[in-house]
Amino acid sequence: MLTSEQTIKDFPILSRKINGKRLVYLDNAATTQKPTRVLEAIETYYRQHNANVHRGIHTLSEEATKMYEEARVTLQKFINARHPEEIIFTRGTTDSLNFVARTYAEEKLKIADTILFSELEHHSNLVPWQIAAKKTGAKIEVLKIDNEGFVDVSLKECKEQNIKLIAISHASNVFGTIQNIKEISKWAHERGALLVVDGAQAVPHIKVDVQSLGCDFYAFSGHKMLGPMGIGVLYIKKELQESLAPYQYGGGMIREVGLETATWDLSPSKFEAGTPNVEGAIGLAAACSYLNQQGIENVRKHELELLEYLSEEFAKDKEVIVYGPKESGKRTGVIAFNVSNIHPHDLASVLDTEGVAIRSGHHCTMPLHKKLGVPATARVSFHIYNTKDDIDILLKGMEKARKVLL
Amino acid sequence: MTDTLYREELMEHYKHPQNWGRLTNKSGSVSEVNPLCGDEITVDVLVEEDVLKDISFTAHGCAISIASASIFFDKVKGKKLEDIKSLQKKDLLDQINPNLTLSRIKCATLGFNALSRLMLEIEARGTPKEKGFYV
Repeated sequence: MLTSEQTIKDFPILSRKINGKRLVYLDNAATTQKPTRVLEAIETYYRQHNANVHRGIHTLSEEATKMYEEARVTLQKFINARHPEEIIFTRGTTDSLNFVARTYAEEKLKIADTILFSELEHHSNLVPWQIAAKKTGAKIEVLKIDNEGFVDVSLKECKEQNIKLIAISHASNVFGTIQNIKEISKWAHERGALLVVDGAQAVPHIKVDVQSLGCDFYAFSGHKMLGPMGIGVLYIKKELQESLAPYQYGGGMIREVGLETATWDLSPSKFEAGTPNVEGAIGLAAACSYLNQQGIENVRKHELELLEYLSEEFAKDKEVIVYGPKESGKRTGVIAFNVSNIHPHDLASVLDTEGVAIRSGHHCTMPLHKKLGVPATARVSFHIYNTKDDIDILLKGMEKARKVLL
Repeated sequence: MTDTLYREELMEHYKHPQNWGRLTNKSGSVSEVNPLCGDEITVDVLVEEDVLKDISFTAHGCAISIASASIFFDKVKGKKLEDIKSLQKKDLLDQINPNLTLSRIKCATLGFNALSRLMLEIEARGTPKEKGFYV
């Protein structure tokens, strides 16, 4: 196993006891735990460098600005964007997707236009497009998925010349399905459409290279990749930035303000009105540096090992129904499942008594669950600090659940 | 907490819910969902002379939501509407488990909320004599 004692020690919360048992944290698709490096980066920032960024002349402001802008470069390199200003700091994936809905969809779309998204999208990659369509009169078309959650854009029949925007998750938060973004991107651009990718479940687990993917927008959250909550990124391809309106208006984003008119600063300032989340950006950069040290390829390899192990165990159990891709290689480290005649909430409650944290519910994908024909699923999701021992404790907890509930 | 959360009385109600099914002779029905998990409950009632003569329900839900509905509906069946209205959510929760977590409280009160809504609807329709509503 790749997970060393040291890796586990890097995450202070893992030494916590839950109901008298060792914490087995398997809810990483919801949020990950934070390594000491991230906690210390935030603390050091506040203890040593706190000041408002940009346009401050004094030492602290210069330091804080430097740290904030260095964080941007760290994020740029992490997803291999071409320019630092292509990284816009937001509150998270939801905020990033609303950003695109507001500054692109609602501004540019017209009645004859079409927005495409898939059936398995998280509500945050679905509701903003519904609202944008309502406001502009644009149409929504849904991309069907196959049994494993894959979208085949070539099967889509609609008035192709009118497709203006395609929204798709890089990896599903339920199935884990890793879409072929390159192919979808090519398909979108051949039709003159832009592609926005919800990368919340991809960036923390697999190598993401926005240049190679060829997408126009790429959204992700800090807290799902070992960073703090309340910070996220929207990658906007440089070529598009000029034509986009600002997301919010106020301080920090202007060039010149009169009483009746104002002009905007250049990107990224243009897109980051108000005092930014400096601690968040610094914490997220620390998370990137931790992931770089571990190696994102190693994170992936590690999660695949755990996936294989749990999949094999689940396959032996006729009562367990697993959703999504059959091959582990097609999914990120997340498995949604159900146990016959046990409601996922009850399963999660019993597991909690054993210190095991899993998620149960519709995971903000009500349309997908409707398609599956179940109101809810149980979901286990991994990160670098999980072990086979964690899975054994999970399986034992599931046995207990059957004893209690059946 | 499982030992208390899934104690025998509750599990008995979950495995064999009381008043399960649909009423053919009914004064009204209501469906309620828990948006957190998509759990659903459908409740039918028969009201005669300000008394809840009969009640039944069907549901897709977890053990807590089904057992709580079963226990609560058993308790209110045959009672005067006036008395049912005075029942507090807290009393039901205390009976299920006083230490329920926030998310599980939503499960435990699914049936309670459904019946409360149905009672308001029935009340809004007016008294039986005026509207000729009650069977």
